[in-house]
Amino acid sequence: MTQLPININQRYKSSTRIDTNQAGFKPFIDDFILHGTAINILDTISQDFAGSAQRAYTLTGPYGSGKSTIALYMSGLLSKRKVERDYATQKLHQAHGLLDNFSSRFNIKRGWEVVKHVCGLEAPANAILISIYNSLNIEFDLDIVKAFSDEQCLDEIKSALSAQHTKSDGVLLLLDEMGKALDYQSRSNKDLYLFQSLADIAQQASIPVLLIGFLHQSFSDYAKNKDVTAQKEWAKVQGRYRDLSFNPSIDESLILVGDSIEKDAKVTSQLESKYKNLITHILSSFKEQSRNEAALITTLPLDPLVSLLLGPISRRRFSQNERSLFGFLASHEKLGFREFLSENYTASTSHLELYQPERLWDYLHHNLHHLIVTSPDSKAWLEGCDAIYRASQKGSALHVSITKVIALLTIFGFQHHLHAKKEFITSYFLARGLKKSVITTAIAELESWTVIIYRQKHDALFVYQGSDIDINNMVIEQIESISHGVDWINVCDIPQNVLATAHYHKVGTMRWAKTLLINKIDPELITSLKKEPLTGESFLTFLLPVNHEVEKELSLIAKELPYTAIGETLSLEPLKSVAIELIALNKIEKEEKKIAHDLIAKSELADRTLSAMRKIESELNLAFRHAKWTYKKTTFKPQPLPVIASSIADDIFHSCPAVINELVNRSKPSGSANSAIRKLMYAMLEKGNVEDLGFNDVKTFPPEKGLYLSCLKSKGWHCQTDEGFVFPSSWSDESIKANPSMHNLWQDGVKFIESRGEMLTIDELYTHWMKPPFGLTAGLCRIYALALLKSLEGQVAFYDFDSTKQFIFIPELDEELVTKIYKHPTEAGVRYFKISEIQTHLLDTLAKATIGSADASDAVLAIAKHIVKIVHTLPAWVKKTSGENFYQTKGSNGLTKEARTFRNKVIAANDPYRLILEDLPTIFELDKNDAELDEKLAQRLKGAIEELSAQHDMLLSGFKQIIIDNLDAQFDEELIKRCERVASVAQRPNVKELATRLIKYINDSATFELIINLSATVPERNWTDQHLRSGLDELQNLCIQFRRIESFNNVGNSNGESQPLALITTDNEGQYLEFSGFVKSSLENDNEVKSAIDDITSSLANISKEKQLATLTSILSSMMNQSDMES
Amino acid sequence: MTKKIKHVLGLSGGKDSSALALYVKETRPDLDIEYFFTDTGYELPETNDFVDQLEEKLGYIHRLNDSAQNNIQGRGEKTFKNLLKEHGNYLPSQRDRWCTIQMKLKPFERWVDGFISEGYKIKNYVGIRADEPGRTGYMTIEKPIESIFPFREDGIVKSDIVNILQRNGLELPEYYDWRSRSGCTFCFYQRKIEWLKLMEKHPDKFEEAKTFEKGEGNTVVGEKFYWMGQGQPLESLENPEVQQRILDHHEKKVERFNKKKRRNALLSDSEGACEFTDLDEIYDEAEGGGACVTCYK
Repeated sequence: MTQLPININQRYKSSTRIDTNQAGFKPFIDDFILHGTAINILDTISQDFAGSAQRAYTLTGPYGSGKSTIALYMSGLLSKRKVERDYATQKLHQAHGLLDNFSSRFNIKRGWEVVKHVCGLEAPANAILISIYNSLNIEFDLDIVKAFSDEQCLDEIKSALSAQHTKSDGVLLLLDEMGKALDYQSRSNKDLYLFQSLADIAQQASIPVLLIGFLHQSFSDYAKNKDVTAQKEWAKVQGRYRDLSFNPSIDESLILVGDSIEKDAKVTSQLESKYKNLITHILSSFKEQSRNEAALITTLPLDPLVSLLLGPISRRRFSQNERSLFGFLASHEKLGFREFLSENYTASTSHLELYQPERLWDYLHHNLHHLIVTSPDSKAWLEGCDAIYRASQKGSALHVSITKVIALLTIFGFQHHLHAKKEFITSYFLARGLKKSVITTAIAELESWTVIIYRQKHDALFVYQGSDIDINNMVIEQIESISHGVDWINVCDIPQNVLATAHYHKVGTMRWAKTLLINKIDPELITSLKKEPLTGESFLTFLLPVNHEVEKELSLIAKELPYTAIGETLSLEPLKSVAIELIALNKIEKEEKKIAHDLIAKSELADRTLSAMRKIESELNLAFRHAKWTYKKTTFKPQPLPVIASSIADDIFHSCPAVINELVNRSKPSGSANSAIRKLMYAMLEKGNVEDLGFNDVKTFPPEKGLYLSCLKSKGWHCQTDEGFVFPSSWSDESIKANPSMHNLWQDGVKFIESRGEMLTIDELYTHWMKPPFGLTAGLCRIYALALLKSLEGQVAFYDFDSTKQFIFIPELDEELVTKIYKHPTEAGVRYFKISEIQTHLLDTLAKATIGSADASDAVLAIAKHIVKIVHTLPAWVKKTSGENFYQTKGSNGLTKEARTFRNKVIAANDPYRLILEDLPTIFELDKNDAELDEKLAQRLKGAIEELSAQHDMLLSGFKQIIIDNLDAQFDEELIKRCERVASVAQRPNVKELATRLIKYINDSATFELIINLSATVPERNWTDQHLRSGLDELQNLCIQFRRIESFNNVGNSNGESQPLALITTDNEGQYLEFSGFVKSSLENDNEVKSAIDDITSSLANISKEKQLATLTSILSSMMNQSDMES
Repeated sequence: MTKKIKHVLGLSGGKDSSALALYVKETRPDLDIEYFFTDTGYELPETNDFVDQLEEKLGYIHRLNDSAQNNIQGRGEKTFKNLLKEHGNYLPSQRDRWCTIQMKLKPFERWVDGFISEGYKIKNYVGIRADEPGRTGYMTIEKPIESIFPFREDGIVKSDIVNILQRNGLELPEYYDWRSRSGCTFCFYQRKIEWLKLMEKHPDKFEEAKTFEKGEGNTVVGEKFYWMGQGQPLESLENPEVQQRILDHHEKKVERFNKKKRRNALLSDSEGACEFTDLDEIYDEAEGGGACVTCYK
């Protein structure tokens, strides 16, 4: 491998961990850069040790600043191994004055024991104790130590340390990453008593003990999520520790940077000669940095300006915990230094390019923008972005370059007095080889576009502050004002969906659990949690209460919540703080109207909001993952949520049959899957009795065939029995054994339909199966529901909610209904008709009574049809009649109420099962469980039918009786003769018609109904009670007229000289009496007659009209001949 | 002390209320019921004939018409014509059913007020059937009126109605041949096919409805009010093309309905074609298209 001209010293890339860098002590010391800050710290500690009782320190500095290296170096200085100690001490020569002082202050004889501990997210007391045991070679039992309480640990630490006083000069206790321990205490709601005690132990131990903790921020910052008193408490504890700030200056950074760039001699000299001038120019503008000339040469090919800014940049908040100086130098990020080197300094070519500030800007923008916008620097940064954007819109590349340089200096240089003076910018770009006039014009133009602005106070150029709004400050203020008592839960309502993965692999059904964070228990929530989950909905809620009160409350009702896992968490403080930040941001957005007009502030706010939301999400994830979950009194050991969800899904859906078929075992099958389901269902309908439903073509394999094989045939739903291929109505033992869960499903379906006792829609069956413990998917419901119905054929009745909006009985499953089962399950109905033993008898009896034979296959339907037919073929009026008795026929009492109700029910009936098994017993007021129901019912039914059937004949005989009575005749030849006579002489058409129809009736050439039609004035199909009632009267009337005509006719066989005279009356028994005689026409004007009239009139004058009539009738009847009716 | 109770039963001229009256007479012969018919004065002649036939069966029917309201024969102040003027020629519509309130509810209220002031409690018999679970009388009056639903109590459904009428010697009112409801000749709940039939059967009534669209002394400039809704004057139905379109559409609906209709498995012969009594189902709407003839509840 060829040596590259420039390399990055790799050891700077990774950070130092104090407990691991044991090997290669010498190289470590060699590479260690003892800069001013480091010297200061060593000086301070050694001075304190010699002159005061302070034994506990914290070293606070940003990540990657080299805190850990100094810890390691210090352990070398105090090492028990003299070689090491001496080697390290040699290095102190670089630090004037400290060399002698350090050793004398510590007065090292035997050397110190060094305990190097790296804190993690675990109980710190136990972990520190273990580290101490390990370092001091003390044997211990891990489990016992882990079980110690904090107090026990502290005691043990104390005695372990004290035991060392004969062996060592002292014990150096280094706590790296102490922040993590503080985080742990904070998260688990513990106080800092532990660290206070540790400091006390260090101070009071019988052996010198130095305790040094390494932090990124001060104690109280770790407690910032706590309330004010807690924060004070933490600050007080920190008082026990002397805090040393570890913050290398620009100079030190330069040295570090320079030291990590390794160049071969040739390149070094080439670069130096090429850029010495540039460095001079730059340093002439930044007088304070003049001492760094040599350092800047070592950092080439970084542009000197870039070198100067790297230090400040590495110390900004956004880079903390994320990036360090060396991250920039060593990583392969886009636009980073390594990329630059690989582009420009290969083994073969090198044009001695510089890594220019523009590239640094682009690097920051590309890699760190998202972090910067949520840091305190966001405002200035966004302003810079805005300025650069505007410069690029109006100006050339130079404009952009100038703006980027000024932006970098504005954002990162200000605090270090690195200002963009006009002369500097000019000379800098001059040195980069541009013409002065061009540069001056560009600056002027940028100023005129207000991309940059000149500030008198600093005599320098700055990026124009496009925004007056300091979002960062606003957020801090808002957080302060709302952090107490705010309901921060609402913004954490980001349900995660947890897939029960293992359950899915087991049964083939995807189920999701959801997560929910709560801070109170409201009844609405409880109601929603109690709801039985349907497949397709979330089946379980991981419910995480934010505090112990809610947790306790929840545990009381936990057994009422079978679809909820309850979590227990140590602390949600990090979540709370970011949630509050989001609330603050939302509030600002709503309340601060001016932000709407400030693009920079708006975008800053938006960025921060987005970032806060992301953080909430990740914190939520953490919280749910780390919580302790309890379901039905079982507490799960910590494991990923999907694992817990699966195990609970197995429990809730313990009866779910396994169907590993991704095509149909889902809540919303795809279009093609649905089409396959449909085709399968039609095949089930039409070819249920065929082997493999007729899918026997070996050449084709349509998806529905696959469904059949995987969902039905292999699961025992369709098989061969003694009756051929069927959906079995009882499963063979073999089949049950092979598919116990399927048989269970089938049995449950049967029971569900059977136990309902009335009609239910298929949709209800789906819902039932989609609930626990089956949790069938919608796709499978369709297939298995139809299979179930097929297996129940003969025991159930089917109903279709048709276009008349009623459920109508249909005799058997058909395509239309199958379509509904598939598509509109609410419109397909099924009802189980359990035919009890009594009912079997009943059916037999009824079958005999109605259709004449028992044991018809479709007995119920056949019997019902027969009954309906009987009623429907009754004469129209019988179907309507109210049954009142309007003709006085002896022994008849109209229609009974029972018969009437029976008739009405039958006419309206459309469901044979209901009619036979329910309506009939009700109509006849019989107990459905009466042992003799069949006999009684058959009898009553027969009675009712007979009664109805008899109605018409009764009506006819009623009408006939009128004729018999009124005409005093039988329907015989005699009457025909009489009728013929009347027909020949009658004037009135109705009487004539009556006579004619009577003749026809007696001759059997017409029905008697025609006679009734005549009197009722309407044809038979329109007869109503009313017509018949008036018809009866009318017939009587016609008969009287008939008689009258007859009487005249009897006497009227004369010549024209005499007039016939007839008198019709009845005797006391109501028998007709007819008298006849003749009167000579000429007698009308006879004087004798005239005077006799006068006499009689006068003698009758004084009695009532009634008596007058009686007198005359008596006289007449005695004078006339009584005619013989029969003659 | 027995409570004074007045049983009242409103006849709309439609099949259900008529069947109810007959049914209650059949099944509860002891009740002394006051029948009433709120005669708007714009009833179909067929309706009036039918109510006359009912009166023959039931006994006296109170006619609550405009003159009866005024207690003065012939004044006729509350006719639709006058009411329309009062309402600024604003035709009643689904959004503002002032016609029902003015011509059905108010006369009823005024009538029962007489009984109430005499200390009667009112029992009002309503013809909502057992197969209309969603339907309730929705016009609420704050009065001591109790609604009674005999059909619902006894499980009487649509298919029973004709039977009840027939066994009392009545057939469906004639207008059911071409219309799905009783009510005024110009009822805005009518479907287009029904307007078309009205034009055919009673051209004079159709013309009368047209004149209401114009409105007497209507000076409104711009948008006029139309029975069939915005921009659809009745005149538009006189266009043969429009007529054909409506007829075709209706045919199609009927065809669909019949196709989807299940025959009664208990009857061997197929049933007759659809009737206008099925119009609501044909158009896939709740009975009366939401136009529940006031049930005085």
